[in-house]
Amino acid sequence: MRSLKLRLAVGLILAATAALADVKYTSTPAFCSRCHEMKPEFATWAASAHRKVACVDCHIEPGLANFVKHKILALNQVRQHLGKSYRLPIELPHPIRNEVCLQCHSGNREPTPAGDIKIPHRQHLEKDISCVVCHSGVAHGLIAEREQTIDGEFARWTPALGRSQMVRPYRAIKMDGCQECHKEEGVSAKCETCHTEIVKPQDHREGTWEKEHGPRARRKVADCDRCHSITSLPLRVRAETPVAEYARSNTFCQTCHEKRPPGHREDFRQSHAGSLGPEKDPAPCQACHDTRSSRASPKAAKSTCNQCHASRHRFNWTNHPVKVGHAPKIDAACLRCHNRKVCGRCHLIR
Amino acid sequence: MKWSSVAAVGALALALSAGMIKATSTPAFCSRCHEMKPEYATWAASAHSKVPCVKCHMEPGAVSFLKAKLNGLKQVFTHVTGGVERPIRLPETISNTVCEACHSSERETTPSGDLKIPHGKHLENGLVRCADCHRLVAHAGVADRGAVEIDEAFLAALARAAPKEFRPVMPRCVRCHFEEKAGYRCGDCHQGSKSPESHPEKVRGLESFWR
Repeated sequence: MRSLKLRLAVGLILAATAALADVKYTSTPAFCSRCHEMKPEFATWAASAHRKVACVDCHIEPGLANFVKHKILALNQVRQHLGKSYRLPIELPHPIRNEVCLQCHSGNREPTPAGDIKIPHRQHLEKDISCVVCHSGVAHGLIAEREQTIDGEFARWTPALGRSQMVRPYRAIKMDGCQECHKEEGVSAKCETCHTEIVKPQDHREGTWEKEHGPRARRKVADCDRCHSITSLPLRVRAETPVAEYARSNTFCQTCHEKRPPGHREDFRQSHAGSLGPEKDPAPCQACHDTRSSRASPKAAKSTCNQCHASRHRFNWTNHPVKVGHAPKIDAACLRCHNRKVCGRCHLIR
Repeated sequence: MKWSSVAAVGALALALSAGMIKATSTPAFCSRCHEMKPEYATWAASAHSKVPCVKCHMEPGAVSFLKAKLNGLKQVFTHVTGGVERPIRLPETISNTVCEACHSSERETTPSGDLKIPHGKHLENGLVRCADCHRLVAHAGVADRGAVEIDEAFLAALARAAPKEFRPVMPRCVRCHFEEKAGYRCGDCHQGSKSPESHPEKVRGLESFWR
């Protein structure tokens, strides 16, 4: 009897110790990385600034209840692992909440953005922007979002690969991300809103630069790209890129170019000849207007001169077998002899 | 019967001491002694306000932990007998091991303004410890100021000046650079600053101050 009680007590203490040790061990990054499907996350984390912070510190919300809940739900992950029933890419079920970050990060620390950028964190937090809206790449370089893990080839994730996936462009938010949000929320997206040292060049004068920048860009678009390259996504712009393509792909240019210019008033269709100048150079129009939209410049406003202007064909119209009016519309009858592709260069064919 | 009561008492004692150890490891406990008020107040206003006292003031590891807990008993004795010398000073500089328990070398450092501070170079051969430069980071040098009583005015002044009060200061950089014969011209640390044209070559840099 006595020995039974003793055995029970010893057994109980042993079981409790074992359970505690289990919970402790299964909460270490070493344990998480034992499953091969976590190798990419482990390799990137190990190369990140958060490498001294255990997986569970960010991936389990604070509090004992959450901890217990997670430990139970994790059994499901074991099942998925054993049955290989996980879906690729393995993604975070929900974004990390500020509460998690603020366990370690104190509001007393003044953030230190790189270069001349000012990022008032408090103002962002007041607008309920969560930390990970900007800092989502901080621990894993967005490998799942960038589809680096979708192939399921987990064995290839060496420390070197992890390091290569944690370079700055993958870790930190890009300026386009800032601008997208600023535009959506109606916050100024001007350079000086976020940058303290960017000074506009002398010739970028308010009032005249709107008219002057086009001809300057057509002369040498590479000059524009020296500063504005940072806003070109996803098309990489090179010096030989036609200026129209540049204007349509550069997110900075798009701010204005995607809108109807203020000069295009209601009667512009009738009056625009006057604004072209004596040479009737269509180049300024072609920054936006194009006879076709290509994959390279999908933002082109597809338009042909012939939509309004009837031009003359080089051959003698009088010989045409069918009588044709002043501004003919191309229809099925024309296409019985003519080629859709050839006519389509000038004519809009419906 | 006897065994079970021994086991019960043992388990109770274990649970109690575990609880005690937990309770005496919180910043709330440390701040209960009035002589820790300046340290507590400055810490609460610092960037390390989410890191408990014991994380920095105990070396990592079970042995250091036990040592610190025993030392704590001595501190209780000094506190009760009223023999605390003030301002209270750190017996020894915080070691890099402590800082590196949280701070990863994978994080690119971000010195403010036009400063360049190659941390890797400073850490080489254990030449410079983290706390040699970052000594103000948690308590804004409250002991050096001789502040033994914390009042509203002190806290208000600290809040106004923070986070500047917690940062490394340039004279400290310059002193060490001078002693170690590292560069101490403006351009050695600052990327943007240039001596004005009117300043003769001789005066540029800080040689004149140290001659």
